[in-house]
Amino acid sequence: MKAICTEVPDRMYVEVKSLVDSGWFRNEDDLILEALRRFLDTHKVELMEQYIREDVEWGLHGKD
Amino acid sequence: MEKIKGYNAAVCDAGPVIHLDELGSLDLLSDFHPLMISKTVQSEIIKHRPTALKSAGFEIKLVDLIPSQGPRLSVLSKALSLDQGELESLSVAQEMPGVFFLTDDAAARLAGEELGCKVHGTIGIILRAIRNKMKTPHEVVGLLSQIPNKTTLFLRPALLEEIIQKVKKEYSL
Repeated sequence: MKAICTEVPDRMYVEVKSLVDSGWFRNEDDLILEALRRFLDTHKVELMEQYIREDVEWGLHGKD
Repeated sequence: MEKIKGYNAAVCDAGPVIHLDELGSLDLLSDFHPLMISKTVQSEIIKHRPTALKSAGFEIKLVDLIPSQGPRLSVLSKALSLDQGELESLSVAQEMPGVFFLTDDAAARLAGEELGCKVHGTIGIILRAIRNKMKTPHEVVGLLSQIPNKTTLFLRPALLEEIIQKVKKEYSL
């Protein structure tokens, strides 16, 4: 396991703390891990790059 | 080149509004008629860019009625972990054939395409501004160059540079 130290905006932290305090997550680490897992599940590099390239083509040569 | 005319209805996720506002180019969305956002998306935008919607200078239609999702969107939403704003946007978009769905989120884009929407993001909207005569190629290169420092849109630096070079080559800059 690796440890990541980062800063989060105050308002975002309030929301994180609220979810933990209300019992949705055991602690802040669990919540951040779950958020990261979901992001990585759905944001594959190849897919993101493909979308950007499609956007470039549409932006420059699209008809609508 | 003639300015694009016709029916350009779009449902917009928070990303493009936030990123274009960060670039001071929210007006690039004014070419979509009507431009629609859901209540949750509105809240997300206000949270990150409190003045963006007030200073837009063009009409942004708030869609406050959330149609039923339908089984397909329901499955996609769970599989792709879509957030509430994306889900609301897609609920509206799937009811309007041919509508644009504007998002910078890969998962939402995937879902949008599955539902038959024309899905595009901030980069496409910026580049489109050239052929739409809203920006010169030179101005667009300037905007693209500002993305890493002025926006929260994450893009691989080499890919961004590739796009900039493509624009320069295309317009002989």
